[in-house]
Amino acid sequence: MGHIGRNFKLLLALVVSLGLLALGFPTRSTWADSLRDEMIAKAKKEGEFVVAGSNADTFRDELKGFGKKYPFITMKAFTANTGDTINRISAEAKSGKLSIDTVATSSDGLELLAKANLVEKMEFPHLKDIPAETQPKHGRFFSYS
Amino acid sequence: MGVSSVILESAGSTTVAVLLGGILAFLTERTDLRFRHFIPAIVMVPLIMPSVVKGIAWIFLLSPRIGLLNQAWRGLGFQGPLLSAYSMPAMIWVEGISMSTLSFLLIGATIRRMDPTLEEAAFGSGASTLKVLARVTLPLLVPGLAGVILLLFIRGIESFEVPMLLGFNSRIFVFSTNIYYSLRGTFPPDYGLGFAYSMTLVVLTVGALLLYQKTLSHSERYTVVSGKGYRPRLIMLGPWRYTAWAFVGFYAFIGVLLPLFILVWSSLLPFYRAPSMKALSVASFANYVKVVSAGDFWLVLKNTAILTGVTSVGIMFVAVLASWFIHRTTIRGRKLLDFLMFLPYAVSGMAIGVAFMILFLSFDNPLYNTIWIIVLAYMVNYLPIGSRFTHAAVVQIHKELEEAAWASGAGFWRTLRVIWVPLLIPALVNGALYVGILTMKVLSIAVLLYGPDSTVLSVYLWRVWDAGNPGESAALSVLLVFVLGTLTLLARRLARGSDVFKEA
Repeated sequence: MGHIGRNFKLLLALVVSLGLLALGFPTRSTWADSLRDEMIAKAKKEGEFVVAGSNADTFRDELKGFGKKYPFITMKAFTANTGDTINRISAEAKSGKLSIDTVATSSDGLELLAKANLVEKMEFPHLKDIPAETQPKHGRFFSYS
Repeated sequence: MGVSSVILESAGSTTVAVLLGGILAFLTERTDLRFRHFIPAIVMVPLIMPSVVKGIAWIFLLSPRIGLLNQAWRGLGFQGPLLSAYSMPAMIWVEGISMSTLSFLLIGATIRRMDPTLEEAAFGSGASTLKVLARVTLPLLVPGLAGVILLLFIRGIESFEVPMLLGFNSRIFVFSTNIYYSLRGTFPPDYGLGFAYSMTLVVLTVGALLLYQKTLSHSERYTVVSGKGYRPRLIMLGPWRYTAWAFVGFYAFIGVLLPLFILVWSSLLPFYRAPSMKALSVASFANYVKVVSAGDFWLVLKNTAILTGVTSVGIMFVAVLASWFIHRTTIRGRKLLDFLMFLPYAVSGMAIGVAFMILFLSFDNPLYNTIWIIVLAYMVNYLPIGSRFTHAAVVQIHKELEEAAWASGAGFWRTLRVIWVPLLIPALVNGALYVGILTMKVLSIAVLLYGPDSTVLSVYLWRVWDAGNPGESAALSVLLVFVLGTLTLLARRLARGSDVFKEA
């Protein structure tokens, strides 16, 4: 999973937390609490959160639950294969009309996005719970299986 | 890369389509074969199967290891597959069957336009049936056939779904898949290459279309349209009727029954297995339930309904206004409008999709990633077809009728409501249904333009297949064929033998 710019780093952390919770990782609310107000304000401003990729459908339930808790954010999943997803991101980024916030696709595709500087470094508290040797060194996405 | 493949694939599939469609049309129109009036109904069935669905069905049939036909082939003791689905001959075969309906309709119309008196004269001079066929019938058909071949060749060049499903993984590229690959298969996307392929494709199709129109104008020198109202002599098949029936049976089996059967069979299984009683014991409707209860299925249906509804109604509205402008006014520029409306016919759906994607990414607009950009692109793509219906209908309404309305004091809108709308309704309904069916079937435009909330049925089917769910893809295909079949039946009932609908 990788994150694409815009003002959603914090929102992403929540989504990731939800994702990790679904995967059985423990959640730690203290990290997000201090930034919650700022995060909610930014999320309200943008109003929409889009997760894209071949695995986007697997996040539907998490997105639905998240949407219930934060009804002012419209949660969307764009399902497409890796090639379609990363090329769409590239085209949209080039034209300044990026509509995708988070990518959930194969690590090959995410690596290409990382090399093209199209995903940001990810920081969230649970990252340290994932064995470092399984993750890319640049930290621009994390992988799980 | 692509030029030789596209010519080979297009020429090959045109040959298959002309042979299948041509023989069936000849049997229907010119022979005494019993029950021949059932042939058009059989040939129309492939029309309701979108190319994606046909491609999926033929993968189930010709997959090198598990394909039904290849398993049967091995069962006969042969080594290796009969034909691999992922090969050029398979692409030619599937595309050929796909185009055989159009070939049947066009060649049938060409045969019907022939003047039978020339044949009668030959028979009267004592020529045998074979001699008349070779010396009179075939030479008369040649100009019309040349036009049909060119039109089918253009369709072959533009095809996307079959080359994508069967050729992409085995690296057999044609123009449309090359465009898709340069925009979606390489990273970062190579827009220059995509545009170059798109423009070459446009030049090729425009060239072929100009040649087609030239062929049509030349064919008028053969003046074969007759005002005399008698039927041409039917050829007595004699013992050849068995061969003819075997051919019709072969087509019905291979072009209609087998693909439909394998789709229904695969849709009932949790994973694909060759038909057997053992496999039947695990058959269920689970794939249908899974498809219908999937998160975004109902949104996909809603999008598809909006796309087909708005596109078909929008096209017929624009087309009827344009037809009126072109045929009923003397305003300057109407010829240019006619030309502009026909222009998209020469541009493949894939090229239109690319143009719309780039255009709507280049400026601020609320349409990008919504269903409305797809609606607009399909409207541009099918406007030439919609206008064929309205041009024909407008020309048939005599000017005296509207002159009478005006003389009686009716204004423009009242004339439109009282004279035009009632007379145009049949053509408008036929045109809207035909365009709607096409919109629902074709993948190439929507696959480039869909967003998170604007997936339509053709893209959804492609996505499910691409994600490796053959059973669910088969279930979706069966549902799609059912919907398209119902719409086609409705359209044909409303068309009541309209040649425009049949040949569009």
